[in-house]
Amino acid sequence: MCPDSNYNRFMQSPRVTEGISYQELDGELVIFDRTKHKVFNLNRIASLIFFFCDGEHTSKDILSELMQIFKDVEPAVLEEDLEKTLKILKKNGIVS
Amino acid sequence: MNTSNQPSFSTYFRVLNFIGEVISNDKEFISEFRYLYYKENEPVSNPHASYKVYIDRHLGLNKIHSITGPRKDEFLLITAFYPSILPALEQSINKLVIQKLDTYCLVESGFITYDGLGLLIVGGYETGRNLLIKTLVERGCIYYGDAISILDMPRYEAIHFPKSIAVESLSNKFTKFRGRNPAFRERNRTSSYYVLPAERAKTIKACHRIDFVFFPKKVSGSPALTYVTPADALMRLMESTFDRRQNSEKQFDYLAGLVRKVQSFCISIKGLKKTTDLIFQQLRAD
Repeated sequence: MCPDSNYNRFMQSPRVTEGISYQELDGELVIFDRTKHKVFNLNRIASLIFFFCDGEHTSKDILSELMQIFKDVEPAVLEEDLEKTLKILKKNGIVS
Repeated sequence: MNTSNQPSFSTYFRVLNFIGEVISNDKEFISEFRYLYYKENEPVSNPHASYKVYIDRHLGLNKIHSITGPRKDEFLLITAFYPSILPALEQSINKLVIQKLDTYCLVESGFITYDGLGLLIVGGYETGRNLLIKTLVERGCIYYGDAISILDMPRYEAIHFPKSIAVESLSNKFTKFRGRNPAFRERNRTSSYYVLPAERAKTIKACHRIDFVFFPKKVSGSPALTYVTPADALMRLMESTFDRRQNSEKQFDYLAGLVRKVQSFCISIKGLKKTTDLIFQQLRAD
């Protein structure tokens, strides 16, 4: 991957898609896509990433937030988690 | 098929404000239908749906049964297999109920009560739900419904679905004449219907608070009762709702509220006596 595409990827501001509802239950997040009538259960880190997908936080901002929250986790691990989670959320139409 | 000079028999049924009529040339079929759906006391002038059921009980190659409706001239089923008729009609009525009762949350589940506690038993017929409900009713529970539960939004209550328990199974049916040819083999859903003791069946429009949600599944090992987190319960409940886009978000929020209020369990079914013992133990513990 060229440095430019890496930069672009990090400057994107993911946003939760229209038609997505969610409920927080005992620390777990359940997402409902009412256009596809599909439900998803997100773990803690995926839930945090979901909440940062407000169209204002860039991926880089989200990574910084995660680094603040999970201080004892290697930044490279968090970056990989963020990338994987965003990929899954985008693939399922939860964020764009 | 000439049905013009046939004597006709009819009956009415009601699920909340949805009213239907069934007309047939066959008195015995009407009795069977009344056995399945609780009969309305008074004839209804403008039913929302009308089904016409033609039965030919004479033996012969041309033996044919059919259901027409709910709109005039729309054929739902033509079959040589008499046992298919009632389950097909039941399925069609269920589909219409799902469409018409769009302000309620409908869940593929049964509902019973025990000692003042309401139990929602969620899942398709392949999970063993109906046999579990039948056994629980035989052991003292009060019956409200076995296929679709009508949940009253925003109250966390289930409303009685006025229909008997249908215990369903899949079987291969053959005709006498065509049985050797696999091309004419019909994969058929058959049902037997369970007569409820009068004191165990509720009247139309009865409703009850929901206290427990159970998700049954058949297993080969021992029966077990496992706690289900509210998030998992919501996922499972949403999978058992019917895809009705117009109020799906409202249903999602309502069911999230429900799982916050109730206790949810996964029940592994192995032996109905032992399985129902486990459920009763849990209910008495509360």
